[in-house]
Amino acid sequence: MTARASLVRRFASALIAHAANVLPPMRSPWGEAMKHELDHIEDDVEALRWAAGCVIASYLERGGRKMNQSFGTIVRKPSAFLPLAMSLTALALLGGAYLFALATGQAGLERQQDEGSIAHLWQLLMAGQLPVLIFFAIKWLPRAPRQTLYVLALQACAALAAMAPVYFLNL
Amino acid sequence: MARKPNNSAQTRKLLSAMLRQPRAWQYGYEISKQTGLKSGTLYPLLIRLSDQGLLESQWQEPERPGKPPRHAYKLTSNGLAFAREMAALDTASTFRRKLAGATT
Repeated sequence: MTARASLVRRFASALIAHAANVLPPMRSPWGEAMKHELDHIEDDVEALRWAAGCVIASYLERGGRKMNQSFGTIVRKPSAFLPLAMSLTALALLGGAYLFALATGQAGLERQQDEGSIAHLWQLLMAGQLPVLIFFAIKWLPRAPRQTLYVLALQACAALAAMAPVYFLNL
Repeated sequence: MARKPNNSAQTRKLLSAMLRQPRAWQYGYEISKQTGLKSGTLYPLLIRLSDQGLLESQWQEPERPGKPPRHAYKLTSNGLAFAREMAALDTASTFRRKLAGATT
């Protein structure tokens, strides 16, 4: 075995160990099966190909297990519903202010030179949800891509709904 | 919950390879060489078929000393029936294709 081949073999072993670690605990015999099979492959490059494939298989298996999480389960995670709640609160703030303006005899909401407290609150709610949204996407997209995309779409709709009055009423 | 048995081209390839030696225990790498399926495709299929009760597995002592035991696979009776069903469907569709080719 040449030094280069030995390096390739070591890399293959490291990859297969990673593949075995990635698998959920209930699948650990499959990780062992992959690892042991590697020792029966004589050619180092072939072993590396085998190991790389096993990494893909393990991630697919892990992803498949976590994909079983339903939309309902994911949307109930704090990082999923918090941005939704913040957008809806921002929308409710504008709605409340509009109704208050109507009730007090004004024509409606008007753009003010000096932004009032409602505008500041709205901005805080909209900007504050961004880090939560990013955290949610990073955490859940690799685990349950489809369901996470549905939740992200819902969050985007809620954010657009909160922004719509600002755009249409030129606030 | 076990997923539904599928009849993808890869699954058919795997089942047809296992059907060639239905009584023999076969190893992952050998199956991969026979079918041309890479390990990244093969293991998810083996896992799924095993979950569905179509495949049984066991650890076998190595033929050569100094090597670790190997995980070996064999079709169960349900797996055998399913593999035969798939093979029959394949034969029928090949026959239909040939017939359509001959009549056009």
